[in-house]
Amino acid sequence: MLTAAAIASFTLIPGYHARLGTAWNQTRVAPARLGIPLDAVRMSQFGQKYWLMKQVKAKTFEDAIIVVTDDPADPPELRSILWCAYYLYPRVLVQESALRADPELEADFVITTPHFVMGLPDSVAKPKLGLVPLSDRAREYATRWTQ
Amino acid sequence: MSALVEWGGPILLWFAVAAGGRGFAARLCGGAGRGWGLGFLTGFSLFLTLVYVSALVGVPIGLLLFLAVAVVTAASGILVGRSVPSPPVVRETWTPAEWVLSIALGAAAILAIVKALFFPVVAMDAHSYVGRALAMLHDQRLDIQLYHWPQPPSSESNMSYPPLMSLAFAVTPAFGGWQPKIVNVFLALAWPLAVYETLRPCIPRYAALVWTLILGLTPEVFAHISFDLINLPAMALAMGEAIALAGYLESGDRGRLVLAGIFAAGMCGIRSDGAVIHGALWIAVAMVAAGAFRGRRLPRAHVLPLVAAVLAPAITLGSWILYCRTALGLAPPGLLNSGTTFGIGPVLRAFAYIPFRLDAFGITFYLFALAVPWFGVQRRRGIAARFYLVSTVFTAAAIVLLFSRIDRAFGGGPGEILPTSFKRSLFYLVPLSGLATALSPWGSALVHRGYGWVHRRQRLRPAQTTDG
Repeated sequence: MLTAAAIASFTLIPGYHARLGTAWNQTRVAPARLGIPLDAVRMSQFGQKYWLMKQVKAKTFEDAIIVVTDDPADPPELRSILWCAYYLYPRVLVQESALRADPELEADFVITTPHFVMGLPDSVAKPKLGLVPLSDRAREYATRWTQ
Repeated sequence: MSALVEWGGPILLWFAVAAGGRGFAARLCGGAGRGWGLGFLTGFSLFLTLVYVSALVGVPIGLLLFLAVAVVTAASGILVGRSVPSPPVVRETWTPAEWVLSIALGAAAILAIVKALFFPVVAMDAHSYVGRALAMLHDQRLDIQLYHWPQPPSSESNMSYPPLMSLAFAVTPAFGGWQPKIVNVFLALAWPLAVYETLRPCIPRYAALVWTLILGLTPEVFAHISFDLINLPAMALAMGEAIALAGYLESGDRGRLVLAGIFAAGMCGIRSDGAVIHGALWIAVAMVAAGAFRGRRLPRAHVLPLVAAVLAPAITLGSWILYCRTALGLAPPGLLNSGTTFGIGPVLRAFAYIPFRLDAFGITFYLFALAVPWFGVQRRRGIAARFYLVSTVFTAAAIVLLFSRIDRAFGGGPGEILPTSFKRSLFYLVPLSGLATALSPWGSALVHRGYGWVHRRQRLRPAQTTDG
């Protein structure tokens, strides 16, 4: 009886309750979770950020050089080359500083955000999440997007 | 069919690795290490070290390598463990309290499994560990293209960490699956099981179950089952090394030194700071041995295994640092600097605050704090208990000193590092302090009293203290 009481009271400690509660909720919704496609689970976790990675992966070629944001106002995930690489590897990811350091480096695409348009002309720059082709081969590739 | 391979493949592989590790642990511990918890940790460390060394010499990373190494680990482990006699098992009926505790542990195990498998990778850092696993599978080598991008990862990046855990995460995608955290299920179940296997010969069954439950459910550690980070495996292997070293001090069995070396190689191949923990554990061994075996010489046959165990991290961490410098052209992790450091004050304040937060480490450290003075009051304790006590203190000191030497410019400074990385480094202390507490005079007194409370008897009979 004492053991049972100890176990029951264990879960009432605030810290333990929160952690166990998370697992308990997961257990309860597990059957529904199994019916949800993986994409939907990731969308529920990352929302637009995951949607963007999915779009970029679908719309770029594997050896593309893609510029990602380094603006502190953007979400940390989109600023992290390693986070983006998880979804986009083997596409090469760089930030603007790398382009400045190596002027011969030609970027194929840029991932734009509300805070990052990388000096694009007004006709191209759209202050929202998106993908803009920069190089000739990227523009040629982009013609297939609508086909 | 494909789902069967995606999920069944990794599960079978890790079971095979555990079976092999169980054989090796039994052989090295003279039959005493036949438990599945310590067995999995042994096999896990051995498997990853072999995969890493194979990849280092140029074997392509992929399903074929994983399967080959798993088969070798399992077959050789089962072969060497087969002829080892098992210690006699005394079958005793389970009391209602023990049934309740076992059911609670079963429920905790189910929660851990769900926790590990519910979400795909969502933690920020986990993207880099698992991302590196995907990249290694894509490029089939350790030297992934990402290291040579126009903007290569800095020495502060997770990419310069030793790669053993990424290799573990690569097992699932190698089978075509998407859930790399299958290995977390095994780790989450193996380390509490190893705690139980270690405590069971020393304290009554109900008490071993209680301690396993308390340690297994330690909140911050329990939460990490779902994060896919590298603190949990490093902690489990550090605990394995401590258990092997405590066993060596108790029995003088040199095979346990080899086992400690296997765990040390795995731990340091997962986290670089494992080297500091490895050093702290060996200082604790030296301290305890100097006190217990004063005037006795180390047998000559023990010298080689001892040196091998001390130098084992060179196989993984040492070779990785060399590989980083030479082949990859990456600077090894550069968090320590001669510039402005955190200093000891903020780290000590964080240490004093964090361990006593219930949502971080729960009652684990409270119980340890209660146990420590009793060691002073009652000096006659087992050498293993003394080792766990001393190693907890030295490991804590090593972690505090390490973080006090970190450059202020590293990873967002103390405001960022102390509530995150430092807190997670304290994982190393959880099993050490738990084992020290369970085997302390205070723990022993509680067990004797508790036996009466739980079983409605006046007092535990002496015989039941050791084999009950």
